[in-house]
Amino acid sequence: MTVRDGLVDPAQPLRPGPTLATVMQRIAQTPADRLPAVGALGDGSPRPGRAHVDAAAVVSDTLADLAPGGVRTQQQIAWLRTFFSAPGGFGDQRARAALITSWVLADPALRRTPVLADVLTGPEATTDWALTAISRLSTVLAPVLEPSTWPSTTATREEAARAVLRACGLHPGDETAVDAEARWQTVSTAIQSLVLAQLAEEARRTEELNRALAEKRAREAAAQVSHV
Amino acid sequence: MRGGRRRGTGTSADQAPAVPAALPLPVTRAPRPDDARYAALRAAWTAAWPEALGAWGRFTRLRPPRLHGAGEVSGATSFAWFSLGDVEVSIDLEQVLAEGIEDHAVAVLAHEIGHHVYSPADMLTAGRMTAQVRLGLVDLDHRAGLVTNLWSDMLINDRLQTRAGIDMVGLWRRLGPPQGEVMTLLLRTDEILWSLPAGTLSGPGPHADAEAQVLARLVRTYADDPAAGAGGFAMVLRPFLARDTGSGGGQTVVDLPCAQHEHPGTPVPGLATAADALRPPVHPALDPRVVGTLAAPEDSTSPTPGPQTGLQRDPVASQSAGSTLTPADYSAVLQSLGVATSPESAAIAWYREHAARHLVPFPTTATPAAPETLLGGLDPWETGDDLADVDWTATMLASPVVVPGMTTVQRHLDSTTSTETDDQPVDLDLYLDSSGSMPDPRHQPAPIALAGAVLALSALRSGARVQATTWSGPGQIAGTDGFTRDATAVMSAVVAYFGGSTSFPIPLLEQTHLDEADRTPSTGSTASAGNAASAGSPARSRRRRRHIAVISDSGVVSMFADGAWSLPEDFEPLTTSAVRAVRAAGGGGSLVLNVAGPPDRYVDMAPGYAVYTVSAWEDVVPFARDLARTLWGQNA
Repeated sequence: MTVRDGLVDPAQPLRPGPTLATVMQRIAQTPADRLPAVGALGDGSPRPGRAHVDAAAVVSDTLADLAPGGVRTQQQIAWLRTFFSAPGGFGDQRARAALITSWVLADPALRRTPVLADVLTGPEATTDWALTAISRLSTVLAPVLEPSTWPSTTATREEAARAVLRACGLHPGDETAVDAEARWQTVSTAIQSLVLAQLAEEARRTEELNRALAEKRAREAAAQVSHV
Repeated sequence: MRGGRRRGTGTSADQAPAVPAALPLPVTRAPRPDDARYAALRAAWTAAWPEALGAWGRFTRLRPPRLHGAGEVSGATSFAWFSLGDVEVSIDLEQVLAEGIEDHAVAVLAHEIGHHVYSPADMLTAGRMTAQVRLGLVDLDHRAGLVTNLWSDMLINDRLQTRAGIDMVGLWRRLGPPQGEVMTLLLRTDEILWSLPAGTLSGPGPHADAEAQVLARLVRTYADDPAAGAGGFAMVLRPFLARDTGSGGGQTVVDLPCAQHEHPGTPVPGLATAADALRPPVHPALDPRVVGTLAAPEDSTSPTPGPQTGLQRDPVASQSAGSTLTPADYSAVLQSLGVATSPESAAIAWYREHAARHLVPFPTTATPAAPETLLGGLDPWETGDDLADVDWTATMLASPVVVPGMTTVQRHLDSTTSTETDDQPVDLDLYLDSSGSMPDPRHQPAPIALAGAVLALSALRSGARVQATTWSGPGQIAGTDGFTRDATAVMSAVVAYFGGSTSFPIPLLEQTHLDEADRTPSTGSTASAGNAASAGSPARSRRRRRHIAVISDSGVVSMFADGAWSLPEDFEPLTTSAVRAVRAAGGGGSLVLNVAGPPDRYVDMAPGYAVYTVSAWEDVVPFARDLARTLWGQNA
């Protein structure tokens, strides 16, 4: 059973990218300023006397590095600020995910991937590619895997690395597309949640059935004893 | 190790043996021509042993494995097996060659060592795991031993592969793809655990990925507590076991490369009183320890960490709701472990273990110790005295020339009364009612039988002898046939069960405690009504005091009514055989009764007997306390 996760475009097959180890290492090396504490980003407005990370600015700078000839429009910045100001803490979560994702996208090893040459054809295409990856990871992965945990363990690094590659339309270069898909099904927290929920429902039904059967047997046994 | 695509005829899950195979037996035979080949293999596997031990730490020690050559063992169902009772690993090299795994000695040996040092590691853990597996399998009891072993295999293989660097993947590849749904599921789980592409070990699909994923989580979650995860493992495996068949009649999970073999009768100390043995297992998909926050309901998607409201159950609360095994469950678990001899012996072990915590001091009689001899001076030895009395050392010291009657001396011995006393234990004459109104102690926990076990084992512990008699209707009597120190014989009587009518064996009671002249006409030659005089008869004065105890219910009336169901109208308590017997026995008496309400009626009919009521499990501790208080005061 293959579960779709919203990270990839089903119409576009995944293509080989860098090795999984390369991306995992990049995630492990995420600098501290890209890992602000939960709620530390606030509403994006600077606070005097305290160091502040403006996620929209960082992402915008990353886009500028990725697409040197591109033009940073006010509309683009405004979209990012809107995206990062979602209510209920979701904006903060998206911003923290975007900080890590932009760090990974800035990895030269990723950008040197041969198959991306077809995608990153120009500044506009590159910007679209990067923003798509950032928005997918911020809205699909971040809600199920807290961004601050991405670099912490081997398991979370692997999940985040695979998610980044998928969001970029890639799969680990040292795996086949089929193997990568199978492995993603087993490491994805979102898919695991779905699978476990189905199993849990099945287990509950089995428990209820067993309980009903036991009660029925007990009633039958009691009836037999009372008629002896 | 496990696997399932090997030799033999097709054995389906339904045809699995009800009990584990017996311990493979050595075969006496003449050397075969190909023994040189086995010698080389034996040398290679022996050389691999230290490395296999090293996989479990620098300080792990275990005796070298038994490496059986061609035809040296019969009855082996696998190429490797372990015995927790013998603390030993065995390998059948003939099957090793047949499987083509002769180059995987370290993996196979390290795996078997893992059963001794990791899971199950000891018989108690094996028993607790089996009890949990039985609960998880619900109606597949006969597969409990198999599933328990599979669970241990999963834990051991994952640890060896991921933490010890042992190439378990290579071994599995060599063994080839499995057959049957169970082995396919387990190897798919290994693939997930070890980050292998699907199908690497499990062969072509389809695979039960959802179950494999939850099993992978289960293995990692309960890696440090094998017994706690066994029930959940069984719950996941149950539907696969029920429909597991090998394609083309091939082997399935029934044919395991690794097995556990134990000697029947191997004790499992602590299992009967293990408080978590019957803790209801939780399906891993519902177990918060396994699924963690993934068990949260879908609407709980708050992005900020907070209280984990999605937990299904409190694991501590759910896990503390267990209780100990019943004698029947205990017997079934021993059966699954391959150590059971009979339901009776299992029941004996169950009651012995439960009674151990309630044993009480038993009364003793203080008697003067034997007179002590003191060395005195030297007296002349004169002719006519016993030649053996000559003290030759003193004689030669006195004079080198021995002149009988002149120089010969003998040692004078004085005697003194000892100030020490010997504590003579009071023997126990125990009568256990096994009429139909009493619970069968072999099937359900019977507090009244436990009370009997407490009495008998307390007496035996103090050095007393016990005569235990199980009785029901007329002629239905079994027991030790006399006083004995054999605890097993005594406990056999405690757990015996007739389930017939109720008629106390008055003749036996009289024969045991009353002289022939004191017995009633129906059982002896002479009638006697009183019997204060007989209490001091010479024969009785020579024997130890005895305590008479009766385990019964309202049927104990037959003890005072000469076997009848009710007391006669002219009932005179002081003249009954039971009262005369307790008076003659000299060690007091106890009636332990499974009756509801106050025991006043029985107190009135049984002068000389202390009456206790034990009708529920909670009554056992007060009974032991009251018994100790009463018996302690009987020290003479």
